[in-house]
Amino acid sequence: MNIRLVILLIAFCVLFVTYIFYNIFKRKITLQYSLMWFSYCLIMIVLLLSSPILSSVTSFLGFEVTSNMIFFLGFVALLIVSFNITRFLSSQKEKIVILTQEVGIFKEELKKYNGKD
Amino acid sequence: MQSILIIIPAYNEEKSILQVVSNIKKVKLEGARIDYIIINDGSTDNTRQVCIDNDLNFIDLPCNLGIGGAVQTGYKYAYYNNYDIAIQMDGDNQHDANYIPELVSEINKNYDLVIGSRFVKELSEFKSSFLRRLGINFLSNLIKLCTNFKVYDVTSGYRACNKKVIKYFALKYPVDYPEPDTLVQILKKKMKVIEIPVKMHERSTGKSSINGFKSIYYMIKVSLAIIIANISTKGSD
Repeated sequence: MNIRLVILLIAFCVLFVTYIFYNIFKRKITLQYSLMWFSYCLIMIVLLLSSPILSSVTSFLGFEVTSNMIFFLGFVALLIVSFNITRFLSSQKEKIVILTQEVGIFKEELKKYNGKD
Repeated sequence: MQSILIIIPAYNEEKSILQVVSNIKKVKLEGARIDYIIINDGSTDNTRQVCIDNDLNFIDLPCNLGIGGAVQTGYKYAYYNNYDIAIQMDGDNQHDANYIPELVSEINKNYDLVIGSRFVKELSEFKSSFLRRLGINFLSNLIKLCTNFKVYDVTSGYRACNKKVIKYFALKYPVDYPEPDTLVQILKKKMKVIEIPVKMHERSTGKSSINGFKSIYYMIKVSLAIIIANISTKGSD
């Protein structure tokens, strides 16, 4: 893999990690949900650094060049991350529905209670 | 004395909601107390104000949940307040309150869920478009295939149910386009369902929420929901 491409991609990962830290300090995301992004960057960096020894794996899996394989793996990892976000979103939505319903019922009961005295 | 709760989901029904309630109030049933509850599903018009001004019983949801979420709120309310029978009815005056006694009498014959149907007998003034009937027909056949039980009006939102079903719905109810889906679940649970003919009016205000591309999404989503309910719902209780 071209050394310039490796440096470019590693630089990108490092920048991204910095940005994640920035967001954690600013309390825009919680540590819990930053972990999957950290591991994403970490895996990318490890893959990029070990690209010279990955060439045999690359040809075994049928990729023409190592960079293709790394981009493919990055793509798969993103797919997993975004699917997890969908899962998280679904459970959040369910919780919001339950909360909304309970708040509605509670307000009604309160109204009845206040009306009594 | 039997306690009956009429659940009326309402999203932007300021023009029709009063009429719906006054029709319900006219219904008298011996040996039963009929209450109603409007679920204001985050309406953006004056539905809430109309409810307050006329001192109607209503639950005010802080944000819009969609029809399933609204109806389920009613079932939860029925469950918490220990109602014997719950009847869901649309807030747009399509459903005729005069059929409430008939729905109740079927529940008292030991049915778990009673569906007020547009299509069992042709007494309905309700004219659906050809495509809509085709869609409903398809869903009806799909449900027959899954459960071996023929329901004609699978999307009817005029339904009555007993305590057992109230509890089931309070715990589990889909947020959007819930009717066919829940029907399969109830049938798979080996509960008893019956369909009775009711007259439905053209909606006096507003229009159907399912049009154009939405109808394609509707068919796909509902068909999938039926198949999933068919596979994942286990037998009795």
